[in-house]
Amino acid sequence: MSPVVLFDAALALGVLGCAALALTLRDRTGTVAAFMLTGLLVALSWLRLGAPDVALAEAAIGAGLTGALFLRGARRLGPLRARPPAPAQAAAAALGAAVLSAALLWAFATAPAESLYPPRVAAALEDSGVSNPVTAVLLNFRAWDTLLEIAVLVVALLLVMTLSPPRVIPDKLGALVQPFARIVVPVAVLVAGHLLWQGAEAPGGAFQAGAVLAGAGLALVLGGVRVDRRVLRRALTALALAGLAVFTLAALASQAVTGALLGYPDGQAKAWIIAIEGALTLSIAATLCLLFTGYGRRSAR
Amino acid sequence: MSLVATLLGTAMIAAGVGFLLFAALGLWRLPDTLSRLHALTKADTAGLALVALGAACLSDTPAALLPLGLCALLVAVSGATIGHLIARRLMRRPAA
Amino acid sequence: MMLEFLALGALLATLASLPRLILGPRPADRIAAAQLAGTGTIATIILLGAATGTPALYDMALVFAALAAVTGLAFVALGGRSS
Repeated sequence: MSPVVLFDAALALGVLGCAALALTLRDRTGTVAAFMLTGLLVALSWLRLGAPDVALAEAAIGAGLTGALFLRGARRLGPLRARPPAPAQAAAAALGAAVLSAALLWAFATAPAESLYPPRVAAALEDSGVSNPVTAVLLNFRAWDTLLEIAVLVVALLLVMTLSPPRVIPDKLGALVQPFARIVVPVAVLVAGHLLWQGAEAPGGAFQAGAVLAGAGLALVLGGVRVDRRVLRRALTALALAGLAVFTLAALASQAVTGALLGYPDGQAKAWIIAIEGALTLSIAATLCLLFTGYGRRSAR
Repeated sequence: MSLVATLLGTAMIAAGVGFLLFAALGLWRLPDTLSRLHALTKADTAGLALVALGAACLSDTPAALLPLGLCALLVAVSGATIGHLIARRLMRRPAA
Repeated sequence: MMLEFLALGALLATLASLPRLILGPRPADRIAAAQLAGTGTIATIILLGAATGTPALYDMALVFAALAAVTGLAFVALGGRSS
């Protein structure tokens, strides 16, 4: 058997096994670790399926930051109490999973062999201002969808503001975190800038860059950076909301200039896209950091 | 690409993958948490550095050196720091 | 061909952290297993890039490496007592 087939088989089995572990382990840290491992393997699967953009997003958000957010939630919830689900509950879940699997199988079996979109995107790519088809779709042809996604992120942030879960005060991590942060944070900022810039012609873009930047921000927060908390929170909130504001203003401005919502003027598409993506990167990074640190006045202990 | 570079690169990658497999074995078989951290911080770092160095030998462009070198650096720094922090926490609060 | 076998080896090294993740017994053991799996994934991506001749994958490995420590840091800073 060829090594590629073996690789794909091991990967598929690994994803299923880790997902099962994430659901069945009776230990919160264990389930979070299994979930992270599932994310790593899913990113590898996207890579094998030829979707490096999705793989990057999964790597940055699924495997990196979600683990930290889940651990924060797990600490608030406390230890897991052993309580197996009721038989009716288990049966209903099994039925739902079976129906969903059957629907997916049916959709997979009846899907046309050729997708309709790639040729149309390829035909219009010339006018989009960028040469990466994924960025062209996300920020030019279907920029409207991306605008709504950013609005969803803002809604998540507003929910955290309203519910104000207790603030997390990280333990002091000691002297060794400083040299760590001095190396990792600058490199992460460099990587984020690289991802943002190369999003125009290769896999990358605002979401991935924002997630990497948020990772650097979390390393600073957890490492105990000395900044006034209230000032930091205000600055981050302003940044988080600025992304949606800039995107909306760009939509209105393009409406005024060209008469089409998010239809960029001829020849200037790339400049508009880079400006919007730059604002989005900072805004996504600030939002992810705030989702971790929270707004609550009470402290967690 | 010269034959020497190919052979050297493949040998280094093979050694690196061997280190990674041994790190996993060590994490599984070593008796207590503190000894398991050795597998995480040393074998692991050496394995990835060898893999990155081998891949750099195999690549046609010197431009690949930068991401590979940064990868090895970041993993070395992260592994060492996390290993130290976990060990520190275990020494202070053995129940964690 | 050789590189593809080595990529398979790196994937197996990633999956080989699972026994410790399942057994625990301490939360720190499970986080250490996840950290090891992260390194294994980075190696797998580098080897996939080398096997298929796509250096663009090295950038992706870099993203993983930049975020490798975030969960571990969060675990230690949050007290690690949620078991």
